[in-house]
Amino acid sequence: MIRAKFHIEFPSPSSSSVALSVDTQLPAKGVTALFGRSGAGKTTFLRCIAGLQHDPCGELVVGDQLWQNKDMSLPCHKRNIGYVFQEPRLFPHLDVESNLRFGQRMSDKAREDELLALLDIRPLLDRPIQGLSGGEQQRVAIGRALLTQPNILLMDEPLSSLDASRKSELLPYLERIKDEAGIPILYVSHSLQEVGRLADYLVVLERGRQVAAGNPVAIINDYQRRKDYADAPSTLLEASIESTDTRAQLASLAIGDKILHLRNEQLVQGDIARVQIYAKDVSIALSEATDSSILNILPVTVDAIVHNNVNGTATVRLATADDHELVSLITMKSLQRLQLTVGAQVWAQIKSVALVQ
Amino acid sequence: MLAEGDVQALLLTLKLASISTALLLFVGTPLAWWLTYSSSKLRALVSAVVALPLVLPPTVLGFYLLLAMSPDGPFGAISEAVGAGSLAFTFWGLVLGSVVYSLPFVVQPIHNALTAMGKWPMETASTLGANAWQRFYKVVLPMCKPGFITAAALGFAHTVGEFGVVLMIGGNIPGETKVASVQIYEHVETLQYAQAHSLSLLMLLFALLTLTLVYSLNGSAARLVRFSAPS
Repeated sequence: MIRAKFHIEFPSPSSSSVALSVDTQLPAKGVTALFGRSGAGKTTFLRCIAGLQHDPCGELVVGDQLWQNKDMSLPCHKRNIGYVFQEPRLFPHLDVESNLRFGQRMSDKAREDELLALLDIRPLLDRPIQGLSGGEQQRVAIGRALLTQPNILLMDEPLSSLDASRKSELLPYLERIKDEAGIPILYVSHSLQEVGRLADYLVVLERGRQVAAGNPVAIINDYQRRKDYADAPSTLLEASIESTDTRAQLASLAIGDKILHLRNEQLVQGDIARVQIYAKDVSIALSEATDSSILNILPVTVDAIVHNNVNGTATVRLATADDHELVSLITMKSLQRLQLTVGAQVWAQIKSVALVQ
Repeated sequence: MLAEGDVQALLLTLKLASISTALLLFVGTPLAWWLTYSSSKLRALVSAVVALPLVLPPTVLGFYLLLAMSPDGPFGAISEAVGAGSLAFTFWGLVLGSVVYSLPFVVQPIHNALTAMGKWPMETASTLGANAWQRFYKVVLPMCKPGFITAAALGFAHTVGEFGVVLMIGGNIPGETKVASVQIYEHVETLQYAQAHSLSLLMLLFALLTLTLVYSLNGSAARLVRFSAPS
């Protein structure tokens, strides 16, 4: 368990607003995402935990180690952390290898090899750092942080300085780190997509304060609903794998007494899978179609109907019997034709299910 | 071509400049550090004091240094107390004067290098477990190397080129305070133009060489900083 209490105010006396004011407990395992828009205090929170920013009244306990209270505060270099910044921050006067070795505490050669292989760093070792792409530099930075054998890995939007294609190139590495590193990760992000893919626990910050904390699926769905992400509304579902069919390359998720089929070869029975379903991939039928190519058909109740006046569509919120949420984007014309009302029992036909975790 | 007195003056100049430069780096580095990172209200005042030798006539500076080195002055009181006697008209008095006189030429390049480097390398090194001393010699020193070399070169060259302050606090005692610039002055006073010429040319070439080195270094320093600065 990580217990953190910080209160930081903006230096300017004119703005009375708070940069960060939290008193919270975070799980000391898996990925905990700190989510919020820019200026919400995410980075400040991370810097306080790292000891890069000092709150004289702050309190911090990580696992069974006291890092800070009102009487003492470990300086940053004595906190056993790995810190990955927004930019790679490789030292320009050192080559890739020396950057990696800077601060290395890992002495187990086998583990070191494993880590370098995991991040595909070996081919980069003899290249000048100026010749590395942004994503490659960030991989070296992650390796450098992990070679110090930290007790906790702090990541401050490690993808934000990369363009979209580099982002999707680096994201799988982060997923591997999450699975293999075996240490808790605090991950700052303002991207729901990243959080949905990586987080096991989610803390939402607004104006420096914690406004929500807990299971990412519920919070993200709730957040999407409130903020109404009109461009690409979607929901997350988390369920266990009931069975797999290797020949058809399908895995089956248990949603109530129904099954959601998922194209996947790696999952095994009993895994918890998190999937994302986009509203545009969900259509609504009044009866259970048996003559359709669509595999995934779930009985649902209409929860809410939101008219999107600008483009002639409506967003329909649906709930399954065991309270999973779905959202469907249909045209106003379809809405009128089906005469949908809140509380109606309908069938959701799901064209595609994307595994995110 | 050089007279015996000229060689002696040149050697004395080199000794003075070497010792002063070492002391200047020792004093100038923490001062530049403080000027870069302190948020104290005294920053502007300290910056101004450091920069004074740039604008004051060396005679004014020399005059006050002379007063300070008198037995009643602060430097004099200290040197008398430790049994070193008076500093005025001694080699070590010149060293003290040079350190004050050349301080801005050492502090400014180091300050510029630290500012261009920014805080991120030190923060990053902290997160990688480096303590203050390791951060300095593993990160700050190599990253700011051009700044330190520039500082040393300018401090050395400026001390070599010192004249007014030397004359005020050192006079021209051969082997003790008679440096090259004073020797040239004396040659001219005694109408030994040929002697003055050869010594002057040496000084000119030395200054040109030093400044060329500094400017070529600063070009590569700028490239290093441009690459490494996080956006």
